[in-house]
Amino acid sequence: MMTDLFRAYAHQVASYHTATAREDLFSEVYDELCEEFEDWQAEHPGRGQAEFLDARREHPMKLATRMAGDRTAYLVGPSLYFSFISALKSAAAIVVVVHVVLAAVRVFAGASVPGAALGFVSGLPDTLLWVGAAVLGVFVALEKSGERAKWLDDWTAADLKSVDGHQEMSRLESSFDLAFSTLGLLWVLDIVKLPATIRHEGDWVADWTLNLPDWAWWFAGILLAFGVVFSLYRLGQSFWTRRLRSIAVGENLLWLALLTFVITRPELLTTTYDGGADFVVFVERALKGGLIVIMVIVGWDTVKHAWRLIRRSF
Amino acid sequence: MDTRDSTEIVEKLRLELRRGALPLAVLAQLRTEHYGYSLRKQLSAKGLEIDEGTLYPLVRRLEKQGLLASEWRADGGRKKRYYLLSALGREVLALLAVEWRLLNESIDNVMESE
Repeated sequence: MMTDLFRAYAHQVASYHTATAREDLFSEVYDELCEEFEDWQAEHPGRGQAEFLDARREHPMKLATRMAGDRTAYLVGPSLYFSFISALKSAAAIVVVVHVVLAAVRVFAGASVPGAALGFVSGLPDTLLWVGAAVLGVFVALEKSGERAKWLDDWTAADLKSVDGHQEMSRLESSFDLAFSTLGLLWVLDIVKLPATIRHEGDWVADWTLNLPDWAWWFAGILLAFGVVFSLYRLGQSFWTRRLRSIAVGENLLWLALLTFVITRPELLTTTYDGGADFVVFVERALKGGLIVIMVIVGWDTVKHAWRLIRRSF
Repeated sequence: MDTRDSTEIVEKLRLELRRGALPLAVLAQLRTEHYGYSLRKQLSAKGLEIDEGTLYPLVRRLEKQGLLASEWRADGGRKKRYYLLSALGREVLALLAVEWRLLNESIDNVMESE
């Protein structure tokens, strides 16, 4: 645990830079901190990393700014550059969330899913542009007023989030889980209908019924609702922790149990379509095959999380 | 002009002077191999304090110009980037050193003539 705060500090400095520069920058800053700390400890025996950082280091964004040389944005100078980029990213994230919520409300209000998706896609760039312009306007005004990012002055090492040995979380994976859980939940709640994808002898067959007991539907609904909340929470985090991995393992095991129950049901599918018993058996086998593939993916994900938990390498 | 104003101006001009001289000092120090912190320590021991936020962008710029060569090495679980003057860097350092001495001499002459 000796190097925990230094890793966190170096990681935060590097995080403001482009992805290609981060690894080198992290190594440079981290090594600097470790080396300087050893010298500092000789003069201040018994003092820890937090005291060292408070005494010798400024806000990570300030160091990132100086390490970047003279990077500027349009009308925004180097001293405000990273604050501007951070504000822009936060504003963009809020805009996306607001548009997702608005699209969901439209679906609940009776709009079709493709219509709501189209509204989301067409409305988003417009709002992003306006919000981006507003953020730029604020920072240009700050720049003109001679502001030098005073909000970064009140920084202490206690503000750092520990990242020692923790794996970075994939936002793509969290976004995929969010989209999958949201769609699944809307389908279970009968708010959206899946399009007819099975064609037999010239007819589209859409009226399939999954023969599951009520408790299984409730169970699936609760798991999907939890999936929405959990993936939303993960989108706000940067690193896996023991707690998050444990929750992921628990969630996956519950899904595996439910999927095992579903796959072992003897007559999972029924339809009013009169296409013959062989056709229904074929579709049911295809569905169960698909569910087995999903089980393998979920199982692999569970093993990955469990392995990290066992090795205490979160 | 009050004392505080002159102090601020001197500080700004001092920084400008240092900024111009630092590349020469860094090139000269990198005739022997150093990684970031050891380079800072060596310069500090010779009276030139330089913070990491100034040093790293400077060595990166000098490397981009072909004056330095660098190599990453693992050391006790950490990665260190070692810098060394390149052949072109040696050539440029020799020319800059002459320029520095001439400038120094000229400035001294100007100062003494007052």
